[in-house]
Amino acid sequence: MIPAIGLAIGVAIALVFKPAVPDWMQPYLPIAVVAALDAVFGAVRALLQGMFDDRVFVVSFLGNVLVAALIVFLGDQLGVGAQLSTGVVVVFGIRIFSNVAAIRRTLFKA
Amino acid sequence: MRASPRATRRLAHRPAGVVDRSPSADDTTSMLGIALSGIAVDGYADAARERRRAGTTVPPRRSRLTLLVGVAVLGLLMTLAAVHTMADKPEVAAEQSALVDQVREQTSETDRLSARNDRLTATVAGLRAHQLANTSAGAVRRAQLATLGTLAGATAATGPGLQITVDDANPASRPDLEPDPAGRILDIDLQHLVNGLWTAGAEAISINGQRLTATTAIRAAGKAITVDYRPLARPYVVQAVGDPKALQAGFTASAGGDWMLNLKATYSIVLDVRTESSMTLSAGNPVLRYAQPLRSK
Repeated sequence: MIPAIGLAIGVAIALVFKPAVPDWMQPYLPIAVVAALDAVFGAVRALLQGMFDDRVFVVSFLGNVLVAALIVFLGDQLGVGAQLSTGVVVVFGIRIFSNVAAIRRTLFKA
Repeated sequence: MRASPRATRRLAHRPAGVVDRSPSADDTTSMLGIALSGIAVDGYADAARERRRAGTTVPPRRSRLTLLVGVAVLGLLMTLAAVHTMADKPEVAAEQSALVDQVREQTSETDRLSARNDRLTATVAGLRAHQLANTSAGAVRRAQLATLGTLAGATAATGPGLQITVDDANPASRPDLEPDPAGRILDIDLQHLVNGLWTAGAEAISINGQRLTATTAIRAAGKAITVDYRPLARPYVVQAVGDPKALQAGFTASAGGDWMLNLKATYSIVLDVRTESSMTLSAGNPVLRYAQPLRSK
């Protein structure tokens, strides 16, 4: 229930206030979203396995987003931004897949 | 909420798919496996282990506010990213269509100017012929000019000749067939074809209405073939002015003819040779560039 309300609040803020994303931040937004998705799937998996801990969730969520953005930022400074973005997406993609696989096994026992 | 026994058991038996770090897996561990072994670190399981070690099975009291704020930030982030991506799309599309418009505009401007150039060239030729017609020496010059102009591609050429239509294998008329990339006509094919026609004694050649001169380049730009840096659209119609019989015989015997017939036999490209009793090839515009000696200061 709380997650649904939180999500609704976040979406509403974004849609109603349309906060301007600073230009320097824009390249990192999609990467941050992928990192956030990883945290979300990890949380759903933990929830289904009865291990959910919201401190872990919030820390991993914020940590993921910040570290992902930081890596891409560093990459941009070093001239390998695009490649590092790909790397970040691949790593989070693998994590998301393995989490979804665990969720699937828990739900469908298959 | 208590950590359920099932969850604990699950922890002991890591599900397949999560990278197994037990020694028994070492035999089959690949480079990729080593690289990915750290990826599936599960913070929740670690936290649960930590709690178990501390002797409590009850997770710490949940901070609803933290969760609420965390999820709200998540929603905000995702919506912002989505909104931005959507907002950028029309902008990109508009820029692209503006560029396309610009290209079209410039192309039609080029067409207009080249038509004007053709008209002026014709006027100049007419005036020159008129002037030269007055004297007998002029008449000789006039005949020379006509021959050389045709060969150089500077004046329009009229006469009987060959019309060769070339197209990729399986053209649009047969969309039921898979297009074969090997059956695509390349710039080198047209080069061979044209060279074959020159060898066969063609006086003037044009491709899709573009007259070939001594300075015309047949080249590829991406997937398109360009003649004089102007892209051609399929099918490629090559017209050659000359004695049709001699042209046909000469072309078939030439290396270029051999090349094209080979392509037809191997990749079944479209190659249609017809004789025409009369056709007119428009003038090309041979641009001469003169070398200049370097001036030393």
